[in-house]
Amino acid sequence: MSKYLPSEKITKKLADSQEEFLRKHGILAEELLDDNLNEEQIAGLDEDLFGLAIVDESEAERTGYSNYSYWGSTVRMFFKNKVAVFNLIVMLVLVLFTFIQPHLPNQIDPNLVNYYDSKAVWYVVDADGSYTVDGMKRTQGGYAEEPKADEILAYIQAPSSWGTPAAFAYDEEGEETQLEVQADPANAGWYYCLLKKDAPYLAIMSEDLTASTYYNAVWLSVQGDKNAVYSSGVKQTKGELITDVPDGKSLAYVSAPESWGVPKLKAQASLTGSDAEFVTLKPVPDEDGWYYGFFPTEKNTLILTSEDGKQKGMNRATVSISLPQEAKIVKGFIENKPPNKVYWFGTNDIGQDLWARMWAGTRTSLFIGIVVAVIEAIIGILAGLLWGYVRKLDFLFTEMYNLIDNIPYTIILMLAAYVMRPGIKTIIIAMSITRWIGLARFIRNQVLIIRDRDFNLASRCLGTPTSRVITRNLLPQMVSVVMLRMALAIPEAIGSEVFLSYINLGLPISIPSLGNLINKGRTMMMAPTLRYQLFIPAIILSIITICFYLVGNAFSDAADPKNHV
Amino acid sequence: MLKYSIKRLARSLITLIILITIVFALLRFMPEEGYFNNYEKMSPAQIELGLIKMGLKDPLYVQVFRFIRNLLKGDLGLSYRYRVNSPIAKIIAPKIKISAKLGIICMAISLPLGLALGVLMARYKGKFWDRLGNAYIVFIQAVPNAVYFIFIQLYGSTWLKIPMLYNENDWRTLILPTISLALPSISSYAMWLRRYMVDETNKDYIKLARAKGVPNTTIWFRHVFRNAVVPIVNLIPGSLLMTISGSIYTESFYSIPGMGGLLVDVIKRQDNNMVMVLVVLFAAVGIVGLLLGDIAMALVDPRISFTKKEGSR
Repeated sequence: MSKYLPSEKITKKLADSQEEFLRKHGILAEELLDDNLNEEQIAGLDEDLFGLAIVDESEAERTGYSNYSYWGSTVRMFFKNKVAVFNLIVMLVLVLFTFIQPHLPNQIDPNLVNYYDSKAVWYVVDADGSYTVDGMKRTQGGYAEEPKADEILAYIQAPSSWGTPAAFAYDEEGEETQLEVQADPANAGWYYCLLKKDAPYLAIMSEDLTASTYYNAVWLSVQGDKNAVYSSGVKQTKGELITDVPDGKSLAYVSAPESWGVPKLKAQASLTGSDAEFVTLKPVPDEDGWYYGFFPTEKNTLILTSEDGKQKGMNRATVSISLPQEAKIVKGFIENKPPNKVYWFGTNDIGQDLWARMWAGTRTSLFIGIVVAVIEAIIGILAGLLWGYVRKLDFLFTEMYNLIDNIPYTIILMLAAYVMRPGIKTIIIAMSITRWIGLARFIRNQVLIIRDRDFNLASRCLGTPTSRVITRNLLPQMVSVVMLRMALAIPEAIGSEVFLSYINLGLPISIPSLGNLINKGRTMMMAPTLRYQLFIPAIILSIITICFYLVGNAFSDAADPKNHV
Repeated sequence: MLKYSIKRLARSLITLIILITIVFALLRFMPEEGYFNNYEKMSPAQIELGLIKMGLKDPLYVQVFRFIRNLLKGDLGLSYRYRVNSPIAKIIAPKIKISAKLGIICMAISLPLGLALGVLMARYKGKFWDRLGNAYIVFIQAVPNAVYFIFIQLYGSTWLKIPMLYNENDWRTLILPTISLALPSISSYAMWLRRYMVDETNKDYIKLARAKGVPNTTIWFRHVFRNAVVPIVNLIPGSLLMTISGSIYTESFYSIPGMGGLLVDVIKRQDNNMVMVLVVLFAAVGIVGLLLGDIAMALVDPRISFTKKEGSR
């Protein structure tokens, strides 16, 4: 605590500076304190003391001795609010990302309908030898090598422990040819080979030929309390495969729950079910619970039962082990794919990339929101000032306000969108028609309150032009509300856009927007596997609107000078 | 009071007439096919004749005058596309009943809950209840209705095993629409009441009452609540009347045959005449609601008098 009161501090400062001034001109303060100067002493005084004081206009505008700065305090107040700062960061990151996203490498155009590739297939092989193959483009850039008309380009991604994979192609007769596998220079971890269309059955092996995607055997296992039988070509036993397979027979491995005892395997021709024969199963050496047997290759429908015949496999396993899976060109759209490595947010029902559409939609919605906010601020402030200052216009504006305020907002929005053609412009106009008047009314009320306050009267007496009174004395008092309304315009614009899209008056599908995405997602709601199309846009939309709402409110609190201590 | 009400009513009528004129003028820009149910098959001459027959080629003021005259007789005109050539009044009468029923149930639930939440939040300002209520209000206010309505429908119907679509004879089907409608109105009642109550607690007379030793409960309910609830009373007649306009989202999500869904349907089918009638109807409801709100406020709070010149409205 200072020992001086604030007012004393100021007067002391003034007095000190006065004394200093006098001392500089060779007058002692004590002399001045004596009011009764004689003529000699008066003549000895400096001429300056009797002239007009020098006024420095720029100095006069300075705000006293206080080091109060409006924006400084606003920012300081804002940063005290931890939640708001966190939201501001989230908001900035999201908004920034939205605008950089199209410039990132390997982004897909939001309106591009993605087809399966017509010339290549992609194999993704896991360490246990299971794999997926389809026509979804997983590598970047063009083809490593242009396939000829009778060829298919096969891209392979094998686990790193496999080394450079080896590829073997089979034709219908089971004739085996080894293919030349090369590393794709443009994509690390990817290899490719060219496959003849008349020998499209591809098996992939590790470099040392110990692991493979294809064995001439089948693994059957019984799982779950319903005894579902799974058949798979993925190797599930650990040791080497049984090699002495008789001619015309195929190797089957079987694993069943312990309560089954030694399972029984019946092989029959597919569909007809005739000529069923039992296969003798022997335990696999060194593998607990696994049995093996040889079944006739053409009798490829396998039925599993327990040793006493009481337990049965729920389904028949139809296996085909004579050839590996065919590498087929898939035709059509990549539609309704759940999120995966290529399409991070999945694809929609016509094969568009939801990741790209999500951010393009956010951009559209933010753009609409920002434009609406700016239009509102400009028209609202101008109209509000006119309304407040020009008395003749008061009636006109008041009537207009009554008219607009009496009708529900959604109805005006719908009517405006109905009359005009769907598009970004329509939405912006439809929202701007009504929003500005709310701000204008607030400004008008503030103008009426502040206009005739003493400091404004004083300004007017000093001949300050009205424009200066408005920009210097009035508008700064309204910053908080104007900013609040601008920040809230964005969630509101997003909401209105969702609404207009819902009633079919929104943007065409060629312009992605949050409203379009949500409505598309809603139509997919009843299929649980497609719900990602609703969840992802809904979550991102909620984050954006909540961030803007909270930041807007916090900023408006911070900008209110009443809260500056 | 009476004089003021009459004056307000007259002004509202003028507003309504201006509105009808504007809507008529706007409809001039609307596609012509919105007046016929078989537009594609008609020749230009037939269209011209049809438009003249309906009086759409008359000058604007003649049309407006005719519309208002018919309106006073209770004749709302005919629907051209939604339900071919049937009187609009007949179409909307049963729908208004359904919407109003749903709306009034929702208000009966949300008003007490909203006020209770508002009081609770103001009472424990800055404490747990206030924070929880604030989080709820922020979520409801910021996120577009459609988003959480979708999730209420989705999970409400799967978890509670309620049929998803509205059925007149099954009261359970009203649960989800009522929840959807009540959530936003509870939040807005609570938000405003809290704000007004907090403002009120900072006033000098409350400090005086405290200094005098008035018990806390008395302060909260006799002083703070009674003063803070006045602006809320202003909103009630409006919301009550607006229930007849229904809620667009809820009614079309649950296919409730009410007014909200109707407006969307009519817009999708481009039935110009019905669009206009509905817009005028909703606007009229809005205007009357505000008027009644002001009167209700004056009845509740004897300090408010309208004989003084008001700033606006």
